[in-house]
Amino acid sequence: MKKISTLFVFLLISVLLTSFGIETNVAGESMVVIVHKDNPVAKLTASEVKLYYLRKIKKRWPGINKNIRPAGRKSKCVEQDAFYAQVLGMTIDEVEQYFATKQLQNAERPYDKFLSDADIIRFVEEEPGAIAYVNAQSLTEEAKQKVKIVLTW
Amino acid sequence: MRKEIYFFTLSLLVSCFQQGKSQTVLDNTQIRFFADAGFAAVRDSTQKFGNTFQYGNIEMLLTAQVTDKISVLAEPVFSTNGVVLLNRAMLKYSFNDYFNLSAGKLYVPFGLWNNTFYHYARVLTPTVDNPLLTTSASRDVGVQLSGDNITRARLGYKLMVGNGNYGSTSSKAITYNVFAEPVDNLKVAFSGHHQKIPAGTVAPFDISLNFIDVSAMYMSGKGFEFSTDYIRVNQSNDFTGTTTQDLFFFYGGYKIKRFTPYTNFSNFIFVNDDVDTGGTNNVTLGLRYNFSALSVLKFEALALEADDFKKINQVKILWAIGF
Repeated sequence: MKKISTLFVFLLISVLLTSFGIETNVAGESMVVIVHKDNPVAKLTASEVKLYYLRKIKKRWPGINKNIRPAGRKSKCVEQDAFYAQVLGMTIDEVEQYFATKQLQNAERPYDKFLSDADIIRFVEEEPGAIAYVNAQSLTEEAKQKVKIVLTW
Repeated sequence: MRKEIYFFTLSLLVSCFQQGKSQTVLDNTQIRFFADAGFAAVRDSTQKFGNTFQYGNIEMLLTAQVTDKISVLAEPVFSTNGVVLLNRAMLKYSFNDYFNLSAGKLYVPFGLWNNTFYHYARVLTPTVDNPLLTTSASRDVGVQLSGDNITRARLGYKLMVGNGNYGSTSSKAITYNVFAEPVDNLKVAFSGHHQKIPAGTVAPFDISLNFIDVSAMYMSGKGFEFSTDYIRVNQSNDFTGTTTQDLFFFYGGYKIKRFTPYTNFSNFIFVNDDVDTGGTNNVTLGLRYNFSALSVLKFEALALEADDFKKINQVKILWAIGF
């Protein structure tokens, strides 16, 4: 019995340490919002990014008249947490509900979901209407030539 | 042998092409389901008591962004009696933000509630049931022009010409909706619906139907939220004269984390040639609990009072999900 309790306490401490470790590793890193390199939009404020990402002020990009295609991470991660909390000011549930409602109302495509930052960057490189958030560390020099950073925080 | 190799190569190419094509279609198609189940207990003024378990319809929502400008929506509903209904089917072409053309079986752009929450996806509606007037004649087959986010006031419009819901092929129903969102999440709208039903369709005389709606809504998903509609329905004909129905509906709630206590009130007044002939009041107190983004439990206590029939007290519980 004593062995089991010691093992349980050990496991609990390990889990806690691991989770704190992830938080502290990413907390200091900067995040960026990127769009396709041909998108004429210049720097955006966080509130403008929110309006474009949620397709609230525009459903199509001015200048190129392309459908705004928001993209993000498929599962919960620190990049997603940071973007939702600091830029959108919404919880994961609120974002999911928002896009489900838009899909029901106007056949609007929900945001594209990807497993990693690398997949998101590839999507933004190829899709003229894309807008997405990634960890700044994930953007290689080569990728920076193919996408445009519109917000850093 | 050469023929076989040629045939094999051709089959392989066709198969690859088909796989690529179907993959593209699948990539661009999203499927969602909405379902609900509940319980209702009713006691009327004669103290008759009834209670029933209820199982709602299952709604399938299929949307696809076919090209950058063309999108498609289909909404079949599997009803509890085993029938599959096509609730909506829409083809949409977006020229730009200010000009979109939709065709098919659409929700009539009347009021704000009817254009925000719709009917079957109850996980997304604030209350257990929709307001009475929005549940009838809310869909039509026709074409719609729409645009939004015009100017800083975020003005928008919807104009629909449809067959109407009375089986007439000679006259068309016209619905318009002008709306604005001057402050984020606060919407105001003015809309109207007009239709002439020719003699021989539902009655042996011509009927003129006119609906007017003024509505406002604030739904931010945080803190206070409300939705209100005032609707006036005028029905006139040479035989019975003019009948007017006034409907006022108010919903208000306050979100506290996952809980949202709310209330709604609706009031109907029927007037026939300026004589008040009756009315209905409906008051509801409710509590909504969101388990997750697309899973919600709603509890409602409802009191309904009508001039020409009994008082009814009702308790409703509904669990609605989307997946």
